[in-house]
Amino acid sequence: MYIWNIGLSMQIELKKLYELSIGITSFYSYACDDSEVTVYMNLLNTYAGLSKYREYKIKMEAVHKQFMSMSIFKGARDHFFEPHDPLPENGVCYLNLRHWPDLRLYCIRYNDNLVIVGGGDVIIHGEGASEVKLSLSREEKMMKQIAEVLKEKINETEISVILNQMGGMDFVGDLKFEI
Amino acid sequence: MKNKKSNNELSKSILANFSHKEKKKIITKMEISIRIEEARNNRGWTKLELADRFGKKPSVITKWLSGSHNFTIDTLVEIEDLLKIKILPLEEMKPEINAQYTGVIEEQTSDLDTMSDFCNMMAATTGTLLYRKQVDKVVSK
Repeated sequence: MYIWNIGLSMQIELKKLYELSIGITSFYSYACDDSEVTVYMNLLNTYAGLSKYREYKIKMEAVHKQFMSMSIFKGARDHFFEPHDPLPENGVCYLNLRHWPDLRLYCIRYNDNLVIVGGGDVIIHGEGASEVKLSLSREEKMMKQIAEVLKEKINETEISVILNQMGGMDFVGDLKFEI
Repeated sequence: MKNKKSNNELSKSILANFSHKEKKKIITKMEISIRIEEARNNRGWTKLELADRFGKKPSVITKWLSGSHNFTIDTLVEIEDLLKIKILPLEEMKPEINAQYTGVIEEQTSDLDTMSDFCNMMAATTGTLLYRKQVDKVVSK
């Protein structure tokens, strides 16, 4: 899991998740400080090599497939995310997962066609619960900061959003920035 | 770069194992949740109001709208009834034998010399082999 120091400025790069963006929704994630691996891929990979976490892997793969399905068929409808009633103004929400309610996977949802997938964690109770809570609050804070910076950059036209050929939306511009 | 490659490999392997059946299940669940959400919006009900009308907790509605909930038939019927929407397209399933042919069978069998003629007539009338098979069964008895 990626750990960062709160309070220090950090280099963020938005990266398109091409494997998921195969239709009307484009999915992005972010990587920190020149890392090649996005936080979403980090989460997907967490424990993946360890056989005792097979259940985690299966569930994480189901999340991946759900994103793919959104992109191919239905788009990232607001009610697939929480909270959606009402929608948060900055778009920061988390995936509404029936088959895995313990996973909190933060996202910034712009519309049905554009989503930034962040990191997250599996909510646990008992030992280690406070650590997970802290990592989740950090991730939420991180996503809010990214949403804020992106909003500014879009307003200043440093970054623009365009419709791609598949009906999804893409960020165009310098996708490396500091928060 | 190594990590990037392994991530792509992981995604590819997930995609490779994404069967048609699995896709269909996910899409159907998403489709149902979209119909519920659209009906809720059309009626101008909040999620709380919807939960109240169903006599359920708001968290149950959240699960329904997740796009990944496995609905029971009972729940779907309740949803259809309250929201006045159609989710189960059972009306498309037609009975194998249509009662409208009964009259024709009764009128025309008296003029037929053999059971074979009867079989041919039925096959021609329906345009399927279904009756033929059923009549063959009767004849063989």
